[in-house]
Amino acid sequence: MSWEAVVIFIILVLVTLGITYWAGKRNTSVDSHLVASGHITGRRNGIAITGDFISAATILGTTGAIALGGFNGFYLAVFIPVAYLLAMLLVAEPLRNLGRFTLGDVLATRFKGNDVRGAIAISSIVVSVLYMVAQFVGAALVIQLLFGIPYWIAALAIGLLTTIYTLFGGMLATTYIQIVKTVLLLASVLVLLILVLAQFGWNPLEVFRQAAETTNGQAIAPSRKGAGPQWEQFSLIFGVTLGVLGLPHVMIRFLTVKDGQAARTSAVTAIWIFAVFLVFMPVLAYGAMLLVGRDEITAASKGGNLAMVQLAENLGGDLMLAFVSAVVFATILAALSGLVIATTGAISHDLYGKLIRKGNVDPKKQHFVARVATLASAVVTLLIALAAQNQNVAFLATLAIAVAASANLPAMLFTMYWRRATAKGITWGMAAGLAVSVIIILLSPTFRAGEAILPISSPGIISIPVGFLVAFLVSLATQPKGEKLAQADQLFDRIRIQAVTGIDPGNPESVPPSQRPVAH
Amino acid sequence: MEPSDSSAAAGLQQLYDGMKEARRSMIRPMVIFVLVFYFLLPVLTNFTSVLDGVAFTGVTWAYLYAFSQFAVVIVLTTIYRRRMDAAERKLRPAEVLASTGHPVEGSSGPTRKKAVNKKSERQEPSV
Repeated sequence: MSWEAVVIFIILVLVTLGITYWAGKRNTSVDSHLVASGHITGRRNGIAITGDFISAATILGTTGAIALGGFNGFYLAVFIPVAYLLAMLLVAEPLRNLGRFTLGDVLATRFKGNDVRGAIAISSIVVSVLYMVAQFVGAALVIQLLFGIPYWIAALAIGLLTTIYTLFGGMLATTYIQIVKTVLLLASVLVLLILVLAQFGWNPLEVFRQAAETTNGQAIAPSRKGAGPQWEQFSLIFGVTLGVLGLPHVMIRFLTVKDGQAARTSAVTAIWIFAVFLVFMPVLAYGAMLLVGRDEITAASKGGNLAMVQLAENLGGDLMLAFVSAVVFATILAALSGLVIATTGAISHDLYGKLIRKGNVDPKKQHFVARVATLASAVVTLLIALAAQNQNVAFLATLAIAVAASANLPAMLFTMYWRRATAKGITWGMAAGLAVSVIIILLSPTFRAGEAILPISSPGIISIPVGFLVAFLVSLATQPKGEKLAQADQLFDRIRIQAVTGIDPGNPESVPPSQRPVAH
Repeated sequence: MEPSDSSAAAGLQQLYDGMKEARRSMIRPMVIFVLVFYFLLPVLTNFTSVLDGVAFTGVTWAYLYAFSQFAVVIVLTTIYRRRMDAAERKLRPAEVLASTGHPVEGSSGPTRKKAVNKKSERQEPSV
């Protein structure tokens, strides 16, 4: 490691620990631990959303995939702004207006029984932990490659810092660390872009032209490798796009602002940053392909995961290499911290507070339990990541996002928008979405190389329609009658009003403190 | 659902009807358009060769279509946000909030603050 890298890393770790210390003094309740008491402004939350969602896989994976695979790699970037637009239109405001700490709160406004809350809590924990393990292992491998340190030291460093941030600083520290990460990420992309464009006469189209010329058009045209891979890719795109709307760590960010209007501002800010940042990915990727070379890229990492880092070293020497490496590290920590908080909420609020203690929990005790859940989530993930070093865990992320799209998304949309939805319909829809996702992965080439029963490894194209269909059919089959139907209708009307206005017409004073206008 | 008095109920109903109408006029057409426009790209690139050709200097039709997704997302985002913010400004004055029991600190404080926020937000849409 160069001295530049040591200095940059020390500064980065000190800044993030400083943020954690500052946030730790304000982290005095379960409200602040899980949703920063709803006091984050829309603009800041939008910046944090970008920091939350853009993982090391997004930055490194996308550039590598375009540099080596051409146009098809760009799908890893294009889906993100589209998914967030759909999230803004369909989920963000009702979620903010109905929820308090978790996705479970949203469903529980309408379905009071334990089944629905239990199902969404378990699904949230499964999704977040799978996603976390995949991210963790991928991140530790990248850090291992970047710094030439053993895997377990990389994993331990990531695990330790993530635990400190989330345990002491809660959602507030997580938010500001995500903001710092976004700013660093944008700065590094801007500098890299300037350095690349300087080599190509300041013309981005020249990068495309040369990429086309040197690969005889292969790098810029879509590729089709037979029916199996084509359906696989389509299913993957379908799944990840809709999956964003059901990912608990993504959605709970909308609970950190005070009202629906701030939720809109959050989404708009995030979409602008995503668009501005991701639209330049092909320029960086082709820059890496042309300046570093495909052979060099595959020599450093088979999937091309270090293409962007190699480009930085090629253009800016040790200093740029150190800076981009630090950005990758910050990216890993910010994304993991968000996931730890999402898992914490589902365990401490849904499972412990609502299901086990039936809502009768002393606030201090709940804050304590939330911290224990934070520690447990981080430590368990670290242990799984240490054990999974030599396993291929990339499929876990695919599975997580498929479950989010097939189980959580139908549950959320039907709860918010469909009058005829019933608790049984929602629960069975979630169970079906989760089960079908797992079964497809088990029958796919991921687990049955050579003798796969299904040609695709991304369940989305099958599991998402199944999740929606089962929720729909079971709801229709379990319609309440008479007095119960009238009550269900009345409750739905009331929830629609709350979802749109943020005010519960039955109990206006019940608007949670985080939703009240506050003087900043 | 029994609001504290009839004027509070009317205030809330007015707020709900207006916001619902603003959302309804945009959500369905926008969501359908986005789903069709977006998923057409992987359908066309994965199962046909119509977007394989070069449009201009090294940029294929596929890339052009992909880049246009960013523009479409930004345009729809802007339209939706502006219209919803305008509806909210019109329908959610401090009096409505107060009449529905929604806590308001000072009679015009939050409203004025919101207006200021909006102004500053409009000035810097391109982060």
